[in-house]
Amino acid sequence: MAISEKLSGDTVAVRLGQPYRQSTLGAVGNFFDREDVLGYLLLVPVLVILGVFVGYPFVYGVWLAFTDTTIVHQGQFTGLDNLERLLGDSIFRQAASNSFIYTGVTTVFKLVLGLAMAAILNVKFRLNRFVRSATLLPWIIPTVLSTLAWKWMFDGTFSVINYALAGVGIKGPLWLGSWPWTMISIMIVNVWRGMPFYGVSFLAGMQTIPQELYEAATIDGASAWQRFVRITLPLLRNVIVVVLLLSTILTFADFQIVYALTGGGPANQTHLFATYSYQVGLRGLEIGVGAAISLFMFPILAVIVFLTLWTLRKSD
Amino acid sequence: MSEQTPVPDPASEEPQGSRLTRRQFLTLAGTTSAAALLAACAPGATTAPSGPGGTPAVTTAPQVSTGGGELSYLHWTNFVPEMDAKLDELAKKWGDQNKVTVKVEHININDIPARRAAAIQAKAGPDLIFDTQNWPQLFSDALVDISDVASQIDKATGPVHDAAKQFTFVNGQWKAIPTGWGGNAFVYRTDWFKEAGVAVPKTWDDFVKAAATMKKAGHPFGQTLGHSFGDPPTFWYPWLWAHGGKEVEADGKTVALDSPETLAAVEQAVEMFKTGLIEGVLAWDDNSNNSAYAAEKLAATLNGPSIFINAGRNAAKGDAIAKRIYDNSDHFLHPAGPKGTFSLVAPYSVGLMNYSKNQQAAKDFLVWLHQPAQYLDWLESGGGYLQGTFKQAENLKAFESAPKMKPYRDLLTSGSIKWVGWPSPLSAASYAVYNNFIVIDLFAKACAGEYTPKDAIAWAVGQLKTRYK
Repeated sequence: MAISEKLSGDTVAVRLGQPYRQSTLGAVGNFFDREDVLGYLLLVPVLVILGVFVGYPFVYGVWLAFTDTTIVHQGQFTGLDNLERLLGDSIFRQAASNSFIYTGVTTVFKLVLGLAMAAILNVKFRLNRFVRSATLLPWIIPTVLSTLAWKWMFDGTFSVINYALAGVGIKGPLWLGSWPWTMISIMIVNVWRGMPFYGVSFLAGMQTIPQELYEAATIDGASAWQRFVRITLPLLRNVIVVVLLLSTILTFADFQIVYALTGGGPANQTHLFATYSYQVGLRGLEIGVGAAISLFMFPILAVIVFLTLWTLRKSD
Repeated sequence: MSEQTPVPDPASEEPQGSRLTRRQFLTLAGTTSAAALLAACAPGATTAPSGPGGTPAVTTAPQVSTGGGELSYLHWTNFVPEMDAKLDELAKKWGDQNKVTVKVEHININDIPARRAAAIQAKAGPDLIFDTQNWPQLFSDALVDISDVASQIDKATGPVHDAAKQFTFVNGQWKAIPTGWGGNAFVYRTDWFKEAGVAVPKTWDDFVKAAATMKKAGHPFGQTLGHSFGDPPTFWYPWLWAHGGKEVEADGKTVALDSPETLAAVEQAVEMFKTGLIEGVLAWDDNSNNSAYAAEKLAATLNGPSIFINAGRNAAKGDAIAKRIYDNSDHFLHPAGPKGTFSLVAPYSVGLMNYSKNQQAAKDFLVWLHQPAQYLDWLESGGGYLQGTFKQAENLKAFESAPKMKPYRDLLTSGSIKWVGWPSPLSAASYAVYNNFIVIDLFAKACAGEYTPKDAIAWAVGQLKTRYK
């Protein structure tokens, strides 16, 4: 098959898969000049990287989940023993429950607050650019660093929050030392940190919406709320879906905030899948069981990804 | 033009050197890769150790026994910063003398197990790793037999304390050098005890009553129930043992937690939690009680000598609060329970990883570091925070200048020291229990009200059975 194209006034024909110029390297050069060969060759580095850094760990992790391997000893295949043990483990069940509650609650708050943040930042006002930059700070600061600052603010003895509450006659809770305040604490930090991502993404989406639509709606007598619900939200739909997808995956597999704030405590009450997997697999050396804990996340996240992509495709 | 007619390569018309064509790129990349591969595979292609500044050290560097190169030491972050500074200084000194770049990395000891696990799996990482408890036993397959090193240190600084040896001497081989002890004792405010008419408790019953009295007086006790390597286990394991409870029988397989003695221990813990402890201890780590005591929020807490030592050092810098704390603090050891007096210490050691590329340098460094001159220099820099595991380091000057710290020294010869998993031998299972905080959570879950004492025991038994098999 030939492709013809106009180049500098001349009609040039090139046959795919055949050299268009005699190579100075002879047969080897001609071989590499074939685009079907070169295309795959250029893909090889990416495939190798994906295979080594994504594929191999994933397959190895799945294998480990079905063995009694420890950090020091290669284990044997034990079938479903690890999964069976985990289902009977109350800490694991709590970690699973926590993961859903943590992801669900924080996602709702981040979505609502992110939309509000974007709506506010989309309005022109003095120092608008400075405010936009400042709101990104929670997302920019290294998570562990900001979480340690929160840990100090939640401290049972030195909490500045409780100190402020005491100033108005309210006895603050033991943020990190009593249920359910421990879960509430880590969710507050997650929302605080994750909201700017939502806000900025939504803001970018809002700025692509033609102003004419709002002007026409205003002339037709639509209120601000009606413009938001009838114009902004529908046109932001795809952005919202993608942001929700990314955020849900990252939140469900969150590690840093819980590890730095509570370490999964007190008494294992705030573990998520990732932190419990770390505790059992790396601290407790039972890497096979740790891998099995992580493996539980995979089908759940796969379903979330599938549903999100399905929604996106449906909207297209 | 026909289909076969070659067309000029647009790139070839550009000035040479301004842009690489696809062909030139492939030729260059292929040639470079092949050259690099050949060079790497060539006999004797091992990278020569670099001298200072990255210059080759093959011919110009003086001949040394270690052969130069780099050495990395993963060490904990000491609660007395001066000990870390001294270790860094000593490492640099030895490195300079032997043309070896020694890198000492200090991290939270709670993070060492994960770093070690990753290093063992990857067969790459720090040459030397700081250990505690029975880690050398557990990771013996990944550690080099350094009996030759131990022998040299033993001659110069020893003999080693028997109680320290059991953690590092594995199947007839030294798998780590016992580098120090971290004993815990109760630091308490003598002025507040005196005001409240409370005596130093001799039994755990007295202890619980003292905590209640002091809390009523506005000065509660502080004892963590959180997930951390030091203060939680050194309190709750001895508490359990003193009441007659134990996690496992001597066979190391039969879970023995469910007993009236354990129930009594848990019930009394709940009583103390409610009546004698400051709020928030469920979330405390090893640093929390240091901060709270330094802020004069606590009348007593179990800790290493770091609270007292740091108070003394800050007092010397003119800190009035630290001086008041230092002048009005003293120490006592674990009280006795119905079944006797028990304690748990943190035995520290350092092991040489078998993947290390510079094992001889590591061995030379360990021998040098544990010679009396360096070893005592390091221990004295901590003011007695860590005690020596070798005979020649038993009586540090720090204890003579601060007699109030002598309980820490006396603890090592008190005969009360046990190990995690006692009365069973040290094992991977007891380590897993320790590192998953199961004994700590037994008490924490009951104190938090998540479970009744009986249910907390049932929960812990379930957890123990998955480890002791």
